[in-house]
Amino acid sequence: MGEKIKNYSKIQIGKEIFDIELNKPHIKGEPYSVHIQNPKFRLEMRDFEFARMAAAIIFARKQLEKLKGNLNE
Amino acid sequence: MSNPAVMKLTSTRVCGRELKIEDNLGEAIHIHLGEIRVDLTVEEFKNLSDKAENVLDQMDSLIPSSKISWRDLNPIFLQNPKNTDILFRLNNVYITKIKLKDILVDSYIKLPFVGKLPVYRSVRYSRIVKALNGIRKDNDDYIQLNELFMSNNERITDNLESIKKNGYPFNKNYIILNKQNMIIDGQHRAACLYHLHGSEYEIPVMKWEFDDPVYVYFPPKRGVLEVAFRAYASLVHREFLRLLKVPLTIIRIVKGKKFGKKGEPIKASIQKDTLPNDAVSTLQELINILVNKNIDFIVLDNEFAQNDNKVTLSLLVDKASQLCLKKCMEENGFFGKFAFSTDVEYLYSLERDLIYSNGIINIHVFYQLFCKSMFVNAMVPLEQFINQEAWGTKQYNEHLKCFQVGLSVSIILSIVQSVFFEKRFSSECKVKIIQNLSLLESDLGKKLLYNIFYHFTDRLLVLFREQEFDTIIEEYTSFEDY
Repeated sequence: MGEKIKNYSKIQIGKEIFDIELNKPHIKGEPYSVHIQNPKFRLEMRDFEFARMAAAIIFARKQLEKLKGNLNE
Repeated sequence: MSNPAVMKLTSTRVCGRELKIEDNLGEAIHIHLGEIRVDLTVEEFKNLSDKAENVLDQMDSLIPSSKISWRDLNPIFLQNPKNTDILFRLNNVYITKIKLKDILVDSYIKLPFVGKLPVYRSVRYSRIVKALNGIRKDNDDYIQLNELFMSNNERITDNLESIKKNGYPFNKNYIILNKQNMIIDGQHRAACLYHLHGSEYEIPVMKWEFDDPVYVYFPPKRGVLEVAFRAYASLVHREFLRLLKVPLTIIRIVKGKKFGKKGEPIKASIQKDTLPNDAVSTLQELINILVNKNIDFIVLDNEFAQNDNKVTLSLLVDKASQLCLKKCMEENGFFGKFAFSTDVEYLYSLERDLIYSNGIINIHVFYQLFCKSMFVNAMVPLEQFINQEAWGTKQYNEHLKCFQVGLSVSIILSIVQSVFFEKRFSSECKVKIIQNLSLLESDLGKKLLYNIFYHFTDRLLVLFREQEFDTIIEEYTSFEDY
């Protein structure tokens, strides 16, 4: 398994808390690995795939705000 | 759960699976990754997107060039599966100047006998420049991800107005090119600038270069020989497919004669001249036949209409009566066909409604209650609970001499019709709701409404009580307390 470099953030969904952490690549020269995990669950993906997912979430929020107005208000 | 108001917010591919984010109005924000689904409240989703921004800020350090931050890029560009990969494999980034005529975009050339062949060409051949000059077909047909409620053409207008108002580059958002001057991001802006200033106009652009040839995935500009070869290959390929159709058609005909065709409408199995077309001429005759054949059905009274001496009757028919109904329709000269075979998609279910017609009477047969989806051209089955209630609360109609849908489900169907089909409440529907408000506010009424409107149900009942019908749809779409 990849070696942890740093914790990026924590997210809470319902009562579950997940860590988002950056890990070294499995093979030198390959993309870094990002884990979304807690003690019972892990979703592992390459750095660019996580960035893509994060960008999709940010874009989806922008779309949602078009539907519902500014969510910060 | 089948929510009739699902708005797809975005989609992309992650880990080889489709990532889809959608707002299920009143219910939850769903994030689908392949077969896995995560349900979030609006507040949780808001927090998640804040965290996503924070993590992407930290991931900027992984991008090889310090001149790039994800914040300088459009999220639509960043979530494209082609683009995030190359962002992390950049070798060199620099700003340079280039004439608009030297920028290349993905376009096509049209060859006689061959058709369209994709090639990279100068921006003047872009579908967007064509659209700006009034030839909109290529751009209208192009499939791309836009912001919500924005068409391809509106996206061009939006870009053009932004450049007129803010100039270029706005907020350091440069058009991005690769080493061969092919556009990686910014075709709309380049086309709008070309439209405004012409081909000789020089603009600053950002160039991305890659060391690893794996990431230089853009094809080189095609030479005459390559174009000729590809045209020839395309022609041979097309002719081969055309020739292949002949044996396939023969196999299909032979197989069809031997085994029959699956899903063939019942009309095909009957000789037309043997049909007693005028056997049934009144609605009551038809109902009597259905009752005598012991077909279990309910008349959906709010669908009942009479026009030009032709009668349209909508029935909810028990699934178990399906075969019996088909046989009965055959005997009495009705033809069956799929009601919506081309432009309406059915979500979550393969069930279809059927139309039987003998030219005088049209019967619209449902095996379950459907609802038009709010945001897409599709039909969604209503919850099983509502279907069960339709059968459980059916009432005998002395005039028609058959069962019709009960009052509770009838009101629900009227509300569904107003919100999802017509997007407004007719005066008849308003009266029906006001007269039966106590029924809607009962436990059964609330449960029926909850199976469609989820957490918006309580607010919907308040709006019914206060007779604020005109604000219902706006409040429903902007509702965020779930």
